[in-house]
Parts: sequence; C-alpha cells; structure tokens
Amino acid sequence: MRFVDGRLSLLFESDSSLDAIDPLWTEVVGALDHAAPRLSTETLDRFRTVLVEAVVNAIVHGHREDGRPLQVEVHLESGRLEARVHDSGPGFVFSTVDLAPMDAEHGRGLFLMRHMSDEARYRQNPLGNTMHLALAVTAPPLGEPS
Amino acid sequence: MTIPVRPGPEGLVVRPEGPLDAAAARIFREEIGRWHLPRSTTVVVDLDRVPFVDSSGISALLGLRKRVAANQGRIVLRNVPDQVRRVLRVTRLDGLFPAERDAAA
Repeated sequence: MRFVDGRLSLLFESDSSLDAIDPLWTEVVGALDHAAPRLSTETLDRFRTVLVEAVVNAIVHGHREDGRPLQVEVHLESGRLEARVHDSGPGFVFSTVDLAPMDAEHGRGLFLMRHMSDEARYRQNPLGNTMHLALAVTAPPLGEPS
Repeated sequence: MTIPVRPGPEGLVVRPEGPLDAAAARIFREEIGRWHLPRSTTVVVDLDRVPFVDSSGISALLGLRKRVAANQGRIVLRNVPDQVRRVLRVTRLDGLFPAERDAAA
C-alpha cells in the first residue's frame, strides 16, 4: 500500500483461476476498508461488480485459464476510484457492448463494466492488455491508515 | 458455494450461500442440472446469503428460470440484496425475475 500525494495505490496478484476471484476481492475490500472507511456500500458494490467482471474476462478470455498470475492495481484519490486489470494473453474485443438478448445466458459482463462504471476502456498491446475501470466517488474518501 | 434446497408451502425453496460468481455459477448449474422438477412448480430463490452476483451468476439464474419455465413453473426471488437488484436492473432482467416484497409474504 502506498500513499503518494494523497493518492493511494494498491497492487494485487491473483492466480488466473476463477476460484481465486473471491479471495482477491476479500483482499481488495480489506485494504480499502482500512484506507478509506468512508467509501459507501453502493460504491463498493459497483466497484466489486466491475472489478470481478474485468478479472473474469482477463482469466477466461485473456489468459484462457492458463494459471499464469495476473495483476490488479487499485488507485484511490479524491473523487476517483480506479481498477486496472492486466493480462498477458491474446486479449479480447471490448467494442461489442450491446446488451445480450433477454433469454441469452451469456454476454453481459462487458455491458456491466460499461454501465456500472463511470469510465471503462481496454488497451491492448503486444506486451499485455489492461482494462481500466473508474468510478467517481463523491466524498473525499482518503485517510491515512492508523 | 452450497445450495440447500427444501420443499416449502409455495414450492421449492433454494437458498444458495456465498457469492454467486463465475466459480460458484459452475457449481450452481451442475446442481440444478441434477434436480427433478415436477410440473408447474414455483421455485423460490432466497438470496439472503448471497452477498454478490456477477454476470455468470445472472446467467446461472437465467438457466434455472429456463428449466423451471420449460416445466410450466415459475421462479420468484426472495430477499434480494441491493447489489443483485442493481445488476438485474442495469441488465434489464428485473422483469424476468419477480421478487417477493417481504420474506414473510
């Protein structure tokens, strides 16, 4: 955990396994609760929703569940909570974000990332891909941990 | 994820426990695939112990709904947490999953 100029930066590493997602969130929310106890339940719910979708995409479509670790950065500063999920696989197409037909059993993850965040973008390059997801937070949430 | 099922006055009551995420959704699908659903059964999914659902969890619920509907039954959600309610609303699926207003109803 690092505080630099009022900005909190956290770095997490997760196995690229679906079973690792819940423990990863427990770690993330524990660190956020400690550093920013004033984040609202609604903000944390939305953040969990978009972060988990991004990690699932990185594991399933980025790494193809190959077991190689992936990195998740969380940044918090006044007015903004951001996640960056890195994968080193072939990536996926983020442009198609239409909502799946009502009875379709797949195809809502990207839509949720777009619509539950305030900013979502996916950068691909030969060295690795990054999903950026940001939420606006109203109250200044940062405080130095005791 | 554990998925206890018990018969209730209104039909079958399913009470999953734990986050209904991609890993749990696989288990949920396997479990419901093994059930024998009588015709015209109401399945109540009590979500009071489900703190979180992702798109895979929503897909698993849709799979259950499809199975129940194929048997002329219906699905009702009980004790829907705010996060689940929000995800259903954003994905415009709230109309497919009627929710009880009150667990005691």
